Amino acid sequence: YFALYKAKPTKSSQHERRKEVLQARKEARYDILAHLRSIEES
Amino acid sequence: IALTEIPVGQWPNLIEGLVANVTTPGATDMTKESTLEAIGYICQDIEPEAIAAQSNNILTAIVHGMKRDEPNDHVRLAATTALLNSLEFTRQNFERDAERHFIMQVVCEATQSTNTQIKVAALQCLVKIMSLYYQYMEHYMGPALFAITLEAMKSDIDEVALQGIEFWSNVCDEEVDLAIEASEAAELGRPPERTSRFYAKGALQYLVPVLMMTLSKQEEADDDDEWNPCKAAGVCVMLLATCTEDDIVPHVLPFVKDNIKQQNWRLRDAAIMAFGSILEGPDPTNLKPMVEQAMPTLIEALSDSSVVVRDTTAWTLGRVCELIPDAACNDTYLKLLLEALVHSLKGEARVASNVCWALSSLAEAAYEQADTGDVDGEPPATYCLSAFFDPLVDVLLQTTDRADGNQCNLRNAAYEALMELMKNSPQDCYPTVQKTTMIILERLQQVLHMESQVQSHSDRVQVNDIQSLLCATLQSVLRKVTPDDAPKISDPIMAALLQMFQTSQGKSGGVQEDALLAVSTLVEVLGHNFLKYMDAFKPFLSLGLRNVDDYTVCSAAVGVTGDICRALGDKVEPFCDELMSMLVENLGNNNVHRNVKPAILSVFGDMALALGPKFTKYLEVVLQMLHQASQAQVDRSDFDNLDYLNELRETCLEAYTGIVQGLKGDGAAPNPEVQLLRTHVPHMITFITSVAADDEKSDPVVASSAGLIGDLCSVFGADMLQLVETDPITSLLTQGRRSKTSKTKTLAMWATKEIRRLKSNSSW
Repeated sequence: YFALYKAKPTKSSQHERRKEVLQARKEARYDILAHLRSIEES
Repeated sequence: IALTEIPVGQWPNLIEGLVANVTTPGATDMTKESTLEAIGYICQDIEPEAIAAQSNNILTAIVHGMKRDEPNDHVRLAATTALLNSLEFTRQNFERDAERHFIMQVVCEATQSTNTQIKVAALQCLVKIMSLYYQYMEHYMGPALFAITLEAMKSDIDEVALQGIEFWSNVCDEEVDLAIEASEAAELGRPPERTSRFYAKGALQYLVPVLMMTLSKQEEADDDDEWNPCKAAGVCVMLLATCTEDDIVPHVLPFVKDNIKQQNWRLRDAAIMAFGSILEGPDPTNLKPMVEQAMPTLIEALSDSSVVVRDTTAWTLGRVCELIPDAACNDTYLKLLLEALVHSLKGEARVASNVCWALSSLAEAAYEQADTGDVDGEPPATYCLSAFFDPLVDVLLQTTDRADGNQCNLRNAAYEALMELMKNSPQDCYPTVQKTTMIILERLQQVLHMESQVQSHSDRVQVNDIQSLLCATLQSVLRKVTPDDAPKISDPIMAALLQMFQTSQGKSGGVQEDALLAVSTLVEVLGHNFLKYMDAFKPFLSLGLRNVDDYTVCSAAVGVTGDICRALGDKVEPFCDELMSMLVENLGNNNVHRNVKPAILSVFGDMALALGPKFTKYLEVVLQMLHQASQAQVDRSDFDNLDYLNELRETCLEAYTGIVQGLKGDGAAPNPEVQLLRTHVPHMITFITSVAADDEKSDPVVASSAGLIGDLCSVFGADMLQLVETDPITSLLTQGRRSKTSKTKTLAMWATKEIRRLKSNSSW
């Protein structure tokens, strides 16, 4: 429980940054493929 | 020796011998104590399954040593400690009523020992028993456990009080898990396997007064590393709030009201701590009026005469900004709050660090609250922080430069707040984003000059930290830079990053990873304009791809490779032979961390999309790699393995998709090269079928499978019908259409339409 005392969840840790970049890549791939497949999200 | 021999079936009579040492009449105290210590050590470190069959014997010895009539405290303590270490593999004894009653009786009696060590060890047993065997505790809670632990919480002996508090923190943890299980079961329309007995809710009225009293026993000179009842009480109140939700509020609020303005700083601090601790759990709508009412007092408390109170207040306001942001982001309090926060940012590092966190949350909340108009994806024109944005950024930049920045994580917190402000900035704050980009670039150049002045290990750590933070801040500003502005500032940025790669070789993986992530962002904003940096960047990209020892760097380099393929399109061709050779080598290298490998598969897809028909030269080797990867299996008892398998499958599917789409091309008629895949189609379908039959497939795997099915149908036409009209594939698409994720739903609907189109064409 030590870590919970006055805990301040970090938003921009290296781990978070990795997650953000991975998410951005997924989105970019999806967008390219959606364009090629001529599909749009309704 | 036992730890080595027992798991391989040797020394079968050891436990029997140890038990006899304790239970034989006339055994000396020294023999009994040493034997019980030996049993304790064995139980502590051995794999539970290696000794589960001996649990009866072990318990006999332990319980014999723990009994109330055991006259020697050393023996009793050794036995109690041994029990603590053996609880994991005595499940079958806990399942039998009579044995459980006996164990519980002996443990409860030991909690009443006048010897503090025995008392603490017995309480530790209760804490662990509560976690492991919650379902069997109803019989003991009312008559014994409640009174024992409440009494322990009130103890003047810190070790005893800590265990009493820990017991109830554990109850909350268990009951929160049970509440999640119950809601998941309800969603699936079945009863949960285990149910909550709501002990925490029932005990609130007795626990809260004791916890409030404990909260006001702060140490004047607080040591961050020391765990004491006051801190444990703060955590316990937070867990109680999460577990009991709205029910806790009326129990805590009177204490807050009575003490928040008391003369005694300990009471003021306890009141604010209690208030901050209950902000997560209860319904935010119910909390909002209460928090709004408290705002003036909290803002005033930021200037309290006690630094402890100022620290707790800054943390509480951080919680307000994070959890009930509407109470802060409004016309009445925002200006007052910001003025007070900025003033406190110049105070002690511990206070300033909490203020940075509050500002991070405020930036996020303000951005979410802003009116985006009707344009999707565009930043809002303005928001409630716009008028304060520039001075806020200024004061945060000053904070990152503070001489005491390495205390209480202050420098990191200030950069983090700066990043959140950049990320969550509306259009009217763009001039400040531009200005900050240039300041970060200047700082990057300065820190590179500092390289030559690094003398000690601590200098190195500090310089590395600053380089990492600057790269990270650079990512957040670059994401905001407009496509017109990006090429104007990219030269000095890339020059600084290249210099950083040059100086960081063989030093810190963290810096290199952050620098690679910054390059990724630059690639993203520059698009095909990144081509001019390729010759200079390629040697460092290669070093990253070959950095087998630090997989985070290797993984970041693989990611950048994919980004470059997507950004440059067919202009990436001159670099592909070398890149492909390194990717293939890494995939086959057992020394490359497994987490890197799925990302490599995705890059195959990116490269195929970028090169189009020119990818055929890599086709054979890549398809062979994908064939192998698609057949991977893992030990499913470990969740991490299962996640990994899903990720590997998702990236295999992404790669196949990239190859199909790339070879097909985006013209009206498919390129003839796509026919090279025809012989591989049955394997792709077999792979999708095996994925479809897997009950533990993830939603992204369903989405990628659906996408590939649709692509194969659109390329290979009616021949696909007999391959895709099967039960597993039909149910996979049904599952996709019912997904809560819109992308999965869209892809599954599109694939279904492609199949229908083929069917209707073939019926003509």
